[in-house]
Amino acid sequence: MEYVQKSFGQGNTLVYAWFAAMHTRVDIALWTNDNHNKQERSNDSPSDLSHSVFLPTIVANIQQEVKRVETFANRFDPDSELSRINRMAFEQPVTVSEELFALLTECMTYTPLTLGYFDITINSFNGFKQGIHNITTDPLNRTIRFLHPDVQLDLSGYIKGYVLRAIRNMLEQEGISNALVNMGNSSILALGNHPHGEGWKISLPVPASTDKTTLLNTPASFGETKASKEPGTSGEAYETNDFLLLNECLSTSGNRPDRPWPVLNPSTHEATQRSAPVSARTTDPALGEVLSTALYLAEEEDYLYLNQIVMGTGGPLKSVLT
Amino acid sequence: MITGGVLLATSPWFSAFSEQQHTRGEKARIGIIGPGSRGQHLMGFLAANPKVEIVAVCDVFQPSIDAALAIAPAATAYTDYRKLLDDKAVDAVVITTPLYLHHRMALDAFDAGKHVFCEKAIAYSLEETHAIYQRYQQSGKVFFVGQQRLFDPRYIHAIEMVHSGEFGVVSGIRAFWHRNNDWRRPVPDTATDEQINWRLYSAYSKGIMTELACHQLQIGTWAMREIPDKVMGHGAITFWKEKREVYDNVSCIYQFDNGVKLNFDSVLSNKFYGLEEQILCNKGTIEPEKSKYYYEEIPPAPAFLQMLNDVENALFGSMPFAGTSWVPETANVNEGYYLLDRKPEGDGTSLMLEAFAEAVITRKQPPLIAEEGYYATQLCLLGHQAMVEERSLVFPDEFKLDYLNHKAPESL
Repeated sequence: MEYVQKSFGQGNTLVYAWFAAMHTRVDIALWTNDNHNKQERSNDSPSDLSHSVFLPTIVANIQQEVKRVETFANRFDPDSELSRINRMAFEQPVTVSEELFALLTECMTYTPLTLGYFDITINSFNGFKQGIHNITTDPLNRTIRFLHPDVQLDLSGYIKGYVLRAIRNMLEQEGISNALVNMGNSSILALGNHPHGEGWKISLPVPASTDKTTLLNTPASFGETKASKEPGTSGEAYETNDFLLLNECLSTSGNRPDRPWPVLNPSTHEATQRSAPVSARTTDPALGEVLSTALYLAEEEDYLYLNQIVMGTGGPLKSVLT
Repeated sequence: MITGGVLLATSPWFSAFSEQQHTRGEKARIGIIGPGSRGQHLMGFLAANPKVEIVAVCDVFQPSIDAALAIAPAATAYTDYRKLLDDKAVDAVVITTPLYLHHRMALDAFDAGKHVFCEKAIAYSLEETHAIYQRYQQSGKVFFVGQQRLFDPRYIHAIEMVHSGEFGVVSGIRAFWHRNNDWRRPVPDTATDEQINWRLYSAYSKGIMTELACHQLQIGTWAMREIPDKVMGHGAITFWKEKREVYDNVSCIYQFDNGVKLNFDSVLSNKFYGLEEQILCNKGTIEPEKSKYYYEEIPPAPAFLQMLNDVENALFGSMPFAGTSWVPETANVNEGYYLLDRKPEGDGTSLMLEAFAEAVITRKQPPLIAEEGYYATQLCLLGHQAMVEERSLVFPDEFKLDYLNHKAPESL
């Protein structure tokens, strides 16, 4: 992990750290005010150490947590627990750790709630489509079993949100109230404020030809879309789509406009390639991953339905959202 | 046609283009000596340059003359290069004959008052190469060597990044050029095998070293800004054994003063890895042929660096997050970054010839070109000698120039 530390204003310290994990770069910026924190701690903490002294340790602990989750949830690592399940669960029930069992169970509940669009069996062998219906779990013994040899689990559409959830808890425990965490530009957690403003301003590029109704850019957007051009692209004009995030997360699917990444549709197993990325803002980062994937894939009618859920106006996911 | 404005800033030898506006309307009158396949390739670029007039061609092989005249119909055809050198209409010559002929032709060309472009390698031996360089210096004429990577935007940008320290310290350079063919060309009834397939005969060529290594060894000296002083290696004929006197399988190790190695490998019976010069640094790797570079560690995000800058200036700026850097369906693969924001156009040959024409018109030798070409040739010849003699060799003092870490004997 590398990091830079900056002091600014009256007793403010900011740390920016970055490292590679989960096939991408993780960026963590957090800042604190020692004067403010000293006053708050004066009654219950005898320590004279400034809060800022611990910032590098905090980001190092976050890195460890990210690596820990990656170790068991990376399907490309043959030694991971997920790989062990993928290899063995058709032959026999596989006992799963408490954490991974809870994670898998949660993911499977999202499949019916998203009308089947979010599906962790999407990368099953031979394009097998009924993966999610060919899994049995035993909560008492914490085992999982596949009923078809082609079933494979893939958490890559979910795990970054799961990690962001853990990071948010860690930051809260450490008393860090201002932070921005970015995982590969597709999963962003914004806590508290930028050092010089309320919330954090984020800009994502979208093709100029994009139908803006496909973007979840309300209600807390700021400014206007601005014409710009992405370097290294084929020359199509791009605009930026701006978000103001305050204690919330932004998850984006399909946000590689220069090289659009097709997302597999679970019902057809065909690659979906929308003209524009889809972003979901949620308070829970893991749920944001689920929704951005589902919305990116959704047919028009389903899209409107799911969008309403995201906007908190109805649907079975509303209870999860709140 | 020329992007000299940009390149001039990064490559000093691009001063060849610095007066291009003033030379508008002027022409470099060029004669081609040996317009075989390579010569015709170069003629294609020259004929397209409005500042070039191909006024003469010379070859002992009539089909080559016919092909050359098809490209430059107005040129005078010669079968004796000395007659071409006597032609007052010729300002400069492009020598693209078999290697063993370069020495005599280049010396005669300088003596005849011509500017010289000589295909690499410059000559067949260390002594001949040194003699040509000395004659060039005495002549006051322009001297170019066909090391086109010096003009290739991919390589220029790569070396610029290396020199800027972006990738830290150069720790090693691995150059390789693999093919899967015997280099043999069909011989027409009117020619001998030695004439057509001269690259395969040790009396006329040093094979892989003078034909391929020459290009890649130059990348080593360019990146390191130093001449390696030691070389060892092994060569053999392992696969293409019929009518071949030169190696089809070589491996050479050049060592710089600080211990860094420049490795060159070539196998002519497997093409899977093709060619590349991998510049290995402690913070990154550059593969200029692929036009890519890779960081050892992941670099910081531009948006966060901008945010740090904003914080210093008390600004509440927006953080632009370009498309995802996430690669969702592959294992951990370092995809790297492209050196250029566009598909590379050509390999620098066109720009190299335009620079030569400008230099002929202005009669000004751009820096480094002759010296980089000189050492590329000497290093490939020294490597070949090390393989033949099966011993480690040190760069001979008598062939050193006042260049980089070397001092010419007369300067000491």
